[in-house]
Amino acid sequence: MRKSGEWPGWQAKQAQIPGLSWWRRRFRLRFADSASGMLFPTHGLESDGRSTALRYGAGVAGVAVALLARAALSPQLHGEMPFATFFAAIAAAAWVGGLGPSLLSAALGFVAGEWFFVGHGAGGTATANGLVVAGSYFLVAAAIMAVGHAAHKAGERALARQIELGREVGQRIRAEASLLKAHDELESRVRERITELNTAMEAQERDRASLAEQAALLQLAGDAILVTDMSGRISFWNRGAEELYGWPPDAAVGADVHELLRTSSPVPLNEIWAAIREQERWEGELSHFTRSGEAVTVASRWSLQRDREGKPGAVLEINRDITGRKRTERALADRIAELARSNAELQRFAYVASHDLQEPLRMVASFTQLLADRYAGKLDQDAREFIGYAVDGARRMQTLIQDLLALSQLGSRGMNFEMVRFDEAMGRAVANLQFAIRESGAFVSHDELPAAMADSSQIVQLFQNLIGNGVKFKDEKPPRIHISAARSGDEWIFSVRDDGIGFDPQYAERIFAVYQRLHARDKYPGTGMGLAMCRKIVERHNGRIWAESKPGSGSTFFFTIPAAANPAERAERTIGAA
Amino acid sequence: MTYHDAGPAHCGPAEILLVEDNPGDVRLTREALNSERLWNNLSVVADGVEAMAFLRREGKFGGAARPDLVLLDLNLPKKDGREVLAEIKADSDLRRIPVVILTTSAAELDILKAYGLHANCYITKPLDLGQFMKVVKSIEDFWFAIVRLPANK
Repeated sequence: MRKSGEWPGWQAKQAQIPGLSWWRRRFRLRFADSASGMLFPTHGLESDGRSTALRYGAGVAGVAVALLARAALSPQLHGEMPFATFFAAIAAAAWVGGLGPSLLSAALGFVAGEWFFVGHGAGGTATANGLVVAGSYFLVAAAIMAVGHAAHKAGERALARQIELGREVGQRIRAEASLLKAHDELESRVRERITELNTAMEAQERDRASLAEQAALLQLAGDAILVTDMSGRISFWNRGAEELYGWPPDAAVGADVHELLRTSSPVPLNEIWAAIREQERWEGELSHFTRSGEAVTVASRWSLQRDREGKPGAVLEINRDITGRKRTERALADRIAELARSNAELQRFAYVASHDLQEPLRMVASFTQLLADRYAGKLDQDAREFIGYAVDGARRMQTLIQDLLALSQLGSRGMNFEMVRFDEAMGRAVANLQFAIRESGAFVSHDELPAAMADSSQIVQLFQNLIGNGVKFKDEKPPRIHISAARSGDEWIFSVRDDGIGFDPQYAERIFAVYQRLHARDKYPGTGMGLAMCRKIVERHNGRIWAESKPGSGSTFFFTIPAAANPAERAERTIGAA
Repeated sequence: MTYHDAGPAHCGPAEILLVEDNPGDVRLTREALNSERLWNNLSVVADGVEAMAFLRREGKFGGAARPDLVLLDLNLPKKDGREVLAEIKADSDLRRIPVVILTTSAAELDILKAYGLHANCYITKPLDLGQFMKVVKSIEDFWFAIVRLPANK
């Protein structure tokens, strides 16, 4: 913004007006501060009461000065030209004060001239000569007044013009100032806009750079990535898409994606489009055809992109080739179905075998026995021995079949999980083994056993087999068997310890396999199925089973059962040593 | 056995129907029953269809006696033992005849199903001859000497 004082035109205009500085001394010019701080005249000349008195005072003062001047010239003039100096006063009063003050000056000048100077020389107005002089005086005075008044008026007009001019200038200044302001505002707006544009352009440039970067990354992605507009027309097609579908980008871009790839989907396509418009994303499996006509299955993910106004603008489609996976899944499902079928067949076979194999077996055993009974007197020692082997073979085969059936049923029957009190299960196992325990004179004792989630009948079977083993594999003395349990982390470790014959630790694994036996049949009969069954039971309970032993110093069998979620579910301690 | 002398609740020989397709088992059962002093009359049919015809006195079984006890094997040709059992127990007249399931199967499912079909008892044939003889004799003792059966018309 420019200061008013710096504006050269204003000062030039001031200098051009004649006598203005003088006017400014004589009359008050009112200046006001405009809002912009620029000085300019607002009102101009004012002729109030005070200036009227000043004007008339000036007329009187002029006469006084002229009087003094005539008096000072009296020695040279004597009585000559008594009014001459007053004409100057009249002229001054007329110019300065206008008509009124000049009339006053003329009258006062006449009176003063008459009084002070005419009386001394020409003898006053009473004479004819005096009348001529007076008449001349007033004529001259009137002429001077007319001229002076005209000059006064001209001065006033000049001042008024100057004021008007000042006002115009003020308006011009104001207009120019507002123009300037508008200009400045415009300029700053332009500057701002340019800054904005620059920022936007920079952002756009950055966007373009990051877009290019992203596009490059999209090219690197193994998935097929494509962008379509809302009508399905392809606008972006990455390398993964080219590799998967065989179409190069220039063939794909602009094409309709579903026509190009012959999309088929379990969900109708318009439902997918509806989903993408509503939820902004969709995921599912689609079937496509490649350029070479090969069918591919893809896991497809769509996401909606909105434009600046928030309207749906494009769809980003990411397709992962799962053709291989689907094929594997199908093959796997086929294999599972096949396994289930063969498993069912096996179960059926196990049942049929156990049932139908026993029938002829019973015949063999029964009729050889009948033979031995009925013809006892007619048979020799050899015949009886042979019949004995035949019967024993049939009997062992029956036991084998029964054990095999029990083992296969463990795998096929569903688990009936419930809170099982292991002390009770153990008690039932001991009851089932009552005869063997009594016969061998075994002593079975146990610590407190917890409760856990398990299949009750299988746990009874498990204890029965382990305790039964302890009873069976005894040395000369009556066996002592002890059962205990300890908590370890989130499982229970149960142990069944005996003081029997034990076994070589190198067989610790082998004893759990089906049909594996460590001893001759005549010494310790059995089918080698018991521990295999134990392992199966424990594994079906997500536990582990193992054994520790040394020949001659007994053996201990351990198994784990996952503990119940709530440790408080531990069984009440009710049963003491058996 | 003293029970027999005490006199069972029915007159005449005890009528037993054995439904069994295995001739060896038939022979063994006959051996076991014949060795008893008890007076009984054993009829044998080899499949489920014949069993039902016998019980309903149809066709060649028109003159058949109404059995006091049925010994039923489960695995039979044509119509198996489970169906025969179901049909007997669904018949308002025949259902009063006690049916003893005598089979080689020790399968829990078979046992459960047989009792579900109102079998009167379920016995697995023992492998040992002596045991088998004992079981058959026990059946005879139980059903004809101990148990009181409804009067046979």
